[in-house]
Amino acid sequence: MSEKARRLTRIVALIAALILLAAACGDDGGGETSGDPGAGTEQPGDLSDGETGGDGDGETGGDGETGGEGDGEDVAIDDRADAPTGTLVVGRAADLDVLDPHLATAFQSVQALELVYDTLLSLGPDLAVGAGLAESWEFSPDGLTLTMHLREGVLFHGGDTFDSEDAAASLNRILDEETGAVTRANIASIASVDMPDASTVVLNLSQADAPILASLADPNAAMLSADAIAAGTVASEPDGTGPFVWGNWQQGESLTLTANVDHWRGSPQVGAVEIRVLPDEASLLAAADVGEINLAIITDPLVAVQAGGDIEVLRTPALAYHALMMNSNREPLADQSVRQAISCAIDRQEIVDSGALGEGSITGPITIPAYRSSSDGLPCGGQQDAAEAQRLLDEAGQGDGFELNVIVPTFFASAVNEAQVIQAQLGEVGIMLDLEVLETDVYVERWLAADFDAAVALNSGKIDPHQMYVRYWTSDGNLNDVAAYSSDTLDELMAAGRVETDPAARARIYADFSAALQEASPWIWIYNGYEYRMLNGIENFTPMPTGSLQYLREAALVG
Amino acid sequence: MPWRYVLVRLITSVLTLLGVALMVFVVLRLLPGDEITSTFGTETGILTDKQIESLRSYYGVDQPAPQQFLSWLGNVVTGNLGLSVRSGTSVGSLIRDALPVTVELALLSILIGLVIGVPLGVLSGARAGTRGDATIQVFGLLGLGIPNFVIGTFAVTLFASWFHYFPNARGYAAPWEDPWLNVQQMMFPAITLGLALSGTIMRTTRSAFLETSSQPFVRTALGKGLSARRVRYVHILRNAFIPILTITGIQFGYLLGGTVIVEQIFAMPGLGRLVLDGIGKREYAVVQSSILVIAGLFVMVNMLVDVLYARLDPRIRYQ
Amino acid sequence: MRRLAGSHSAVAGGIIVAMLLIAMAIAVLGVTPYPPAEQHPESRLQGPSGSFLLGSDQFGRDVLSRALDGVRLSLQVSVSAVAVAAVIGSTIGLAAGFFGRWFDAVTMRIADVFFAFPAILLALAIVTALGPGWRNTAIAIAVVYTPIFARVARGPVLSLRTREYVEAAEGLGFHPARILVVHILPNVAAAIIVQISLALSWAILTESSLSFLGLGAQPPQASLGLMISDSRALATTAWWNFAGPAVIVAAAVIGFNLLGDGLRDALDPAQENR
Repeated sequence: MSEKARRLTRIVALIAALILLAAACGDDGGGETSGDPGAGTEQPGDLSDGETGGDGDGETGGDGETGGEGDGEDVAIDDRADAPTGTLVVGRAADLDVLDPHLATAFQSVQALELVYDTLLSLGPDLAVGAGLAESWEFSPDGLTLTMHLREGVLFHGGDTFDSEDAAASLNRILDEETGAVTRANIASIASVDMPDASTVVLNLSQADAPILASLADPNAAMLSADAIAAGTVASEPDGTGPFVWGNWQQGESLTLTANVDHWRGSPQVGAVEIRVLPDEASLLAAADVGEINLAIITDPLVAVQAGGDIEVLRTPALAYHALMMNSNREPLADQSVRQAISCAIDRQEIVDSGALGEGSITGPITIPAYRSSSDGLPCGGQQDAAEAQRLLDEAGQGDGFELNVIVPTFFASAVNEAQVIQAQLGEVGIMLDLEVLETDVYVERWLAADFDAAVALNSGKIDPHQMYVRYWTSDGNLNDVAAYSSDTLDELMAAGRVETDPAARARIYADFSAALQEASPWIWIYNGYEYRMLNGIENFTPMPTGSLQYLREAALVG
Repeated sequence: MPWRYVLVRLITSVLTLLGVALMVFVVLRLLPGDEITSTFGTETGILTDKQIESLRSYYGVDQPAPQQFLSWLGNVVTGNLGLSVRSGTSVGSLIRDALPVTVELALLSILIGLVIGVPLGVLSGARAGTRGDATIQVFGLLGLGIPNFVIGTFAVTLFASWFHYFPNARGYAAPWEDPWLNVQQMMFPAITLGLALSGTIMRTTRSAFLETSSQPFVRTALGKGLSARRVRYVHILRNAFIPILTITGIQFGYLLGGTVIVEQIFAMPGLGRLVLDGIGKREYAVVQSSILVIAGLFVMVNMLVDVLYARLDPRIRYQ
Repeated sequence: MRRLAGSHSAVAGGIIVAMLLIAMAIAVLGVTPYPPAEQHPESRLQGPSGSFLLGSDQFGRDVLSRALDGVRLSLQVSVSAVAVAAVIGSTIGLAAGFFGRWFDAVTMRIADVFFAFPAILLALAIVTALGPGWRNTAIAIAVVYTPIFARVARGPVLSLRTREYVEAAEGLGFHPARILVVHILPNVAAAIIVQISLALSWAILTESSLSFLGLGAQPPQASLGLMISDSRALATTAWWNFAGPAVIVAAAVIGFNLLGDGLRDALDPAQENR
């Protein structure tokens, strides 16, 4: 026995020695490596982008040609002199999953893919639609034809030239039901796409559609190369025209994108962007604090308020809104007075304070800055008024209270907290909530089937009010069953907003829409929170209400 | 060496793994939702029926369940662990990246558990009944009782916010890329898991120590005039080896489970996180294959322990 | 009994478990300082003080009251889970050991499958499939522990099976069920009782881990794991939200462990090294 033990000891020692040896051999001493802008610099160095003009953002017209010509050229020349170096590290809690930009819907996927792809139109920091791969565009007088003039000399990272064939193939791919693209619904008014020449696409619309411009600026309407579509490589080999080139992806760990120094807007200021995944947000903040991460994306307000030290906190009011969705197809919620009573019984500020430590502002249905609903139109002026709530309940014959089943998701951190505050507040007027906290997929199934009395929700906002609510509040909207309420007034206002092109007139239409919605109170809109960007060692980054990271193309490292 | 015994163990192991495969498959299909609802979330409601149909065939969930199981199993047998459809990556390569992380973490945790647990166990056994023994026992119990998510969270917060030290933020480095960084990154998670393990090992060592101390051969050795220290370390420890080995083998399973939470807290790209993510995203192939690998590891380690155990202790007979 | 009282671990474990039972009683009788779910918006995140002995959380709820109620839930889940696992598992184990042959082989292979599956993942998957709530958590934990009891019960039966008095009873033509209950069960009971105590400690740990991962008790029900998870983000600023529940979970796990040790020493000295 002792001999055997000795032999065993020898074997163990041998294995240990081998492991050490293997570790030592593999040691290349490499700690942090700076980004390699290789892919970009290898490309032919003609400055064609200077001629067609790197257009600034936020322009609403097609004046790209004169707009940014000089800038584009200057930046491009600078690039030749010294290509950008350094790796900017972005940290967030989840990785991207889907590489196909037409299929990707998760924030994490879209955030990464829109750095690699461009769209026909683009958004400025104020969400105004400006030029993108299309330099200019015009509607026909009847609004049924949209002609877009494409930027010339733009190259895909793989080397192909972008032209009308690519644009048409991309749009047709989205429209094809086989693709399964969510954004199809937003551009479904496109009946056909014509290509009169290599730099022009003409969209023939089945009806006038003003918000289609915003839809074409959506990252989900990314422009792919016709060859990649034909070859079927879209889902596995991202190849776009965007400011960054798809690099090395360690799934669940990190994604490295290198600078596209030939981008038509000019080269990014950093050699590469690394998007790193740290699943725990508290750990993420700690990483930003110690300077390992230059830009941390935090969603949990409880974590965000802990930020201190060297971290600069950017708070951008988010488009996504927190709401209590109610099912007006069920008794007693079918009665408008009951829904208004619930609205009156709730203290929205307290929900924000307790549920999210005050991190948010009370809102009505529309969170888009240019169209933002005032919360004045809410029943009881948006203030808690228990007496009025009780009066409304009595009026509806529900003075003794009732019970509601509420589904609560786990995919956003404050959901359970909000649910508990609402539960306590409604309990005071005799409305008892039975909370069911559900894992994301379970919640989604119940939500889609409208299998709930009420649902705590964080619904994503869109950049145009039409896009944001057409699915819910028109009687033939895809999600009208879930919204469980419709009216002729809402239908008419939605239809009017779709064809109206004058911004001021549109704003009035959506103000009326918002007021009608708040009066009917099919849902309780509560607040919108912030998009948090924790910065450390980075400058010139512009956050966006959509949560987009597109301005990484301008960001630079400090020091 | 009784090769027949090993052969029988191998066959039962394969049966066990087959059972695991079937169970994972069934449990996964019982989870509500599928890859489409988890990819699109509430946006699923905007898809047309035709779009959903085409997505179902894209993700391979349009076939009847038994057929899905058999085709996955058939692929696994031929070494193809499947595909993560969303990312277009093969599950084999995902596991190849994640496995070394988890195995290294588990081995280091065991090492830490042994390094802390065995000496403490001997110390406490040698002083049974004293105050020192009681102190060590309390330590062992704390290691056993404090949930690893508490220790983990505490370590992250403490070191990052007070000492500005958080090596795990720097992106995982494999030992052959950057051994120094790798050691720093492994340290806290391994200590978190190792502490709990050391409690168990300490207690096993202590009772093994106490038991062997009373054996006749130890008394004989002492009577022959060998120094107490020598007896303690050579004779007693050698005999305590078997129970320690056994408990370590058993604990390996616990470690593979424990890594699920610890990898989450410390951002380690290991198998546990792969599975947890996969369950959340309903990536059936990823979860099925990863759990099969975890179970395979577990079965292998147990077999190894049994074989070693039998070699070390001739009193054990094979059936 | 005297041996039990003489064991330090049994005494220490007994005291902790008794305190947990008192905490549970306080919660069951509803005499916690405040109703556990009552919110006091004016006093959010207050440190420990005379009015809130363990401080208040972000809703201004009393942490002590919630912790007491959390103990109740924890015990409720763990005890029901372990009871189910012990009854079903031991029955299967007894039968497997007694009847042997294919029944034994099949059940033990099935048990192997469960052992090869990381317990927390199995519990997690079961809770996800069944939906959250304390009953489903208890079911998940019971499923995970049933094979352990089966194995613990089966072991001794194998050796008892060949004892003279059992063979004699069989020879006399007694019904197998009667032999199992009258002759075998009492001899296996010690091992099962010890295992129950140890399983309770692991069940408490598993319940809190599941709640930590967000599956488990439904709000506003307090749960220790959930309280720890919720307070994690605030651990540096509002440590009292984190500390109380963490200490209680640790104490509960240690308490049942000690009690198990003590019971083992007292009832089943031969098992000490297993």
